[in-house]
Amino acid sequence: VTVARYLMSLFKAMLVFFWGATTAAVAATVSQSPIAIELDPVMAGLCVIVSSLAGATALALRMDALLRNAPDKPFVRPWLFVCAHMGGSWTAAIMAFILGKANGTGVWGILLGVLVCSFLGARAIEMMAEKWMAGVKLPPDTAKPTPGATP
Amino acid sequence: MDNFYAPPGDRRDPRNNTWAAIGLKRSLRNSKNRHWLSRLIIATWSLSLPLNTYFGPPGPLLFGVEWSGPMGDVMMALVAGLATLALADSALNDWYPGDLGNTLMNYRHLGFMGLAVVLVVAGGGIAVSSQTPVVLASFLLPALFCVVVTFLDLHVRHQRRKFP
Repeated sequence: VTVARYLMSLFKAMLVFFWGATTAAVAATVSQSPIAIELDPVMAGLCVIVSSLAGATALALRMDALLRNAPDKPFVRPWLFVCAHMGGSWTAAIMAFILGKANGTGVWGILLGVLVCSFLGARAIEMMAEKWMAGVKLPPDTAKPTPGATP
Repeated sequence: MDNFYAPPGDRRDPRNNTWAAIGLKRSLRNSKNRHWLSRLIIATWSLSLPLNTYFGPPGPLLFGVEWSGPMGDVMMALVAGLATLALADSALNDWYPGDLGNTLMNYRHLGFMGLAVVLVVAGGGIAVSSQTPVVLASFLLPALFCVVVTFLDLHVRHQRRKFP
């Protein structure tokens, strides 16, 4: 049963990371099409900053909710939250940037699209991780006997 | 405050003196009012940006807003609205000696991160669409300041909840 649970959790984790694979597929499709995307460094830098800020907003919302619901507990594994939110927001922002450039969207459209998509991407990764991966618990350590327990 | 012995009606008692109450509230280093000056500075600066742009002498920012079309005006209105909210939060939760509820303070992180996002989007959009990159510098550093203020406040606010 434990092995099955772990295989299931691995499968769900793969589904979570398909978010990045979708972005790679979009990039590959656009790069093989006759659409020419010119990479403006100012716009690309702005999109990186905007998507980082959107991911940080989602991260702040999550941290506030966690600490509000359990004020007596420490905030464990913060790097995991940071990686999940930032990864989700950056991949969604890359996808929005490529799609906006391929469609010939204007400056405001690309910036607002990157903002909305990166925030929704961070929230989506958070929801998927919370729904599928938060329930996975480590198996009990059978090597060490529990102190005080009768054999 | 319970250990503060003063005769009834004494001016040094913060319960009888508004300015003493404000000073006591601000002097608590580990209270929820910590970093009050940074919040006040960023709120007033953000509110002064659209006010100076539209009602001050014409500068590069006004030309950038005019060249970028109606979205520039919308973004400046968003900056003004969020800055007004941040100023109201600073006034109600940091300066007002009484207690008017914690609604604004509980959503402070959302407001300041929204202000940072709107500042970057407004500055970037105006700079790129009007080809005036000089205005971008006056938006990016305050946005970074907003992010620092947000996470410092998030840390201190919940530390106070943990150790009241």
